[in-house]
Amino acid sequence: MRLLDHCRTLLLALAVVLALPFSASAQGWLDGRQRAEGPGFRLGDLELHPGVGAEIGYDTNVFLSSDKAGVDPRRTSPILRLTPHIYLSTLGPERSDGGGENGPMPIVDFRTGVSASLYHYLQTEARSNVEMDVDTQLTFLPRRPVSFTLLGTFMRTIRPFTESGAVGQNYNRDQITGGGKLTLQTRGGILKSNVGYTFGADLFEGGSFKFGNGVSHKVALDAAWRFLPSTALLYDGEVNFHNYTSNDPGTVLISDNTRVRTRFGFNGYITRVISVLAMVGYGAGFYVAGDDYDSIVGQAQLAFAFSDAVNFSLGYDRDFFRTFVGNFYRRDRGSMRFQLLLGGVFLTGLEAGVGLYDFGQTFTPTGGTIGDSYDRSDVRADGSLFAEYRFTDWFAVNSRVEYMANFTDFRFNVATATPVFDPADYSRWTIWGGVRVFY
Amino acid sequence: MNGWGVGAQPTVVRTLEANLGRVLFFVVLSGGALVAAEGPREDADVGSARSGTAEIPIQSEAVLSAAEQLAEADRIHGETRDTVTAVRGALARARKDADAVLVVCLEDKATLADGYLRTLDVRVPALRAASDAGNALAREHEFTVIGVVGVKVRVVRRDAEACVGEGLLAAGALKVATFVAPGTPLDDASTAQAIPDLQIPFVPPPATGAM
Repeated sequence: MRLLDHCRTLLLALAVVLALPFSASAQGWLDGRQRAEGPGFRLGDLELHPGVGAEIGYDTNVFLSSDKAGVDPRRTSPILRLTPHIYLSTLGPERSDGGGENGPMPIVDFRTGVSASLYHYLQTEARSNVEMDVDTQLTFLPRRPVSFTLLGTFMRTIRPFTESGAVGQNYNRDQITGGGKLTLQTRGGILKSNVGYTFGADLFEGGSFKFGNGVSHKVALDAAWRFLPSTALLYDGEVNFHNYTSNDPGTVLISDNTRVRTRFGFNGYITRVISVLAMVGYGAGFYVAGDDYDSIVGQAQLAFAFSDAVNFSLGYDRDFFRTFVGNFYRRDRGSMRFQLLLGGVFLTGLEAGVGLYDFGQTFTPTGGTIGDSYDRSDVRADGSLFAEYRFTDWFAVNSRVEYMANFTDFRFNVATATPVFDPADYSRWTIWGGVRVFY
Repeated sequence: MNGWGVGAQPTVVRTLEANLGRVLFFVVLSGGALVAAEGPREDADVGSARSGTAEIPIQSEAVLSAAEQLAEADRIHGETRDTVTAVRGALARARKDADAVLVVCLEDKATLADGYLRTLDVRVPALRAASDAGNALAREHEFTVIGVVGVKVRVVRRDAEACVGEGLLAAGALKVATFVAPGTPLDDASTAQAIPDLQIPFVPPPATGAM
């Protein structure tokens, strides 16, 4: 009978997911699902969390222009943003009978969510459009020695990610992932390991950027020995095969590649307040054309959780990523994060980071240069200040200030009869304020 | 209890402590004559016996009285019965679980243990008879044989435990109990949260062209 109930729950959950519209999504203040969720509605063995936010904002550099050479002047714009979301999951520990890790173990653990952000630019040619974020996770036999998880995500972004090339340029980008992972663990989770496969697709809707379309296949393995309740030794490694699928050569040489990364490390609390994450390993990228990459990768973080209401962390990471300029870039980035919750109703947070980005050599598909140099190195800074006040457990006002800047001497060529160099640096401020209702 | 509030008292630790006490007692009884040379570890005499160059702890007549020899013989006899019961039980469970590897590993241990028990079933009454008859030479001979059998029984038990992976004479299956002190942070440390790629990718502007 209980198995039938679980099956019924699963079928209902799947039916709801399939019925959800795949046409709306999220960015903005939906940074953390825990923060977006309110009391929720209970639907049998499921809980439902709907919500919507309305904001007005101002962007000082919609198309990320440098404005130094006058090739593509900055354009500013007020923006309206409407952000609905709905989350559905099997009962969490707060609602399930017996609650928490010691409660009865379910057959299936299920979470899905859809959020959307409807942008309306009031002054620029960036059209009104909809971003979307969908994620689904279905775990069979959770918390048992052997469990299996199916994962799927869909993300559509529409905000400009580079300078404008023409009026009405389409910046829509769709990123899809799907896969599964097998989890093996001892009872209690002292030893735990995951092995999984993820398929990914990266698709640009605009013709100017279709050269970047591609698919990936990632195989990942990780293992952890949790020798104290919140402290573990870790290993993770992955192999990622990426193929560009478009016949359009584009303006820059990017090539199919295989990327490998493996790391060992430590994660966890060393006192009741201080936690440390230290991972170090090696990464390599093998590209059909252009530079290969191999170097040390790593991640370090020192975090202080003074209480449930106050936490602060400092971090550094070094890694390499696939990109559309020079096959890859290596990132060395330092960051900080501070969060404060006062009286359970006022939340504020500050995040900031600055990183050095070194690119592989950049070429056109015919071997020419796309800028004033084959080499490119950027410093990118980013930061945000967020504040929210909750009047009730379902209504809040919030505001956010964001800053992002890219400092570089690299300049792109502009294809005109008279050669023009277009600086690749830019900076942007974005300010948002609004209300949200969530349950 | 350490700084993070974790205390674990596995059964294996308790078993080791109990055995250590037993071995120390044995060393004291034997005057430390032979066993002490290898240190107070039960492993020492087991390893020697297994290799064939045994340094068998033999109690001298001067150390143990007839009554003490009878008591020690009864203890070895009881320990052997327990070992036979435990090995036979483990073998039955392995057969029930259709664990062929474990069955093969345990079968010869069970046969050996049975043989040693049958030997003691004869030798212990013989020791008692020799003691009752006041035949010191026969009593000493029987007690020496019983002592050797006792060592071999312990070797068999240790080998059987190696097959099973836990102490056969423990109260039950190995169980590690942990408890966490209040206030201990309980974040999931088994994953290192990856730092994602940039939200805004590096893409050449559409107007970019070759020179």
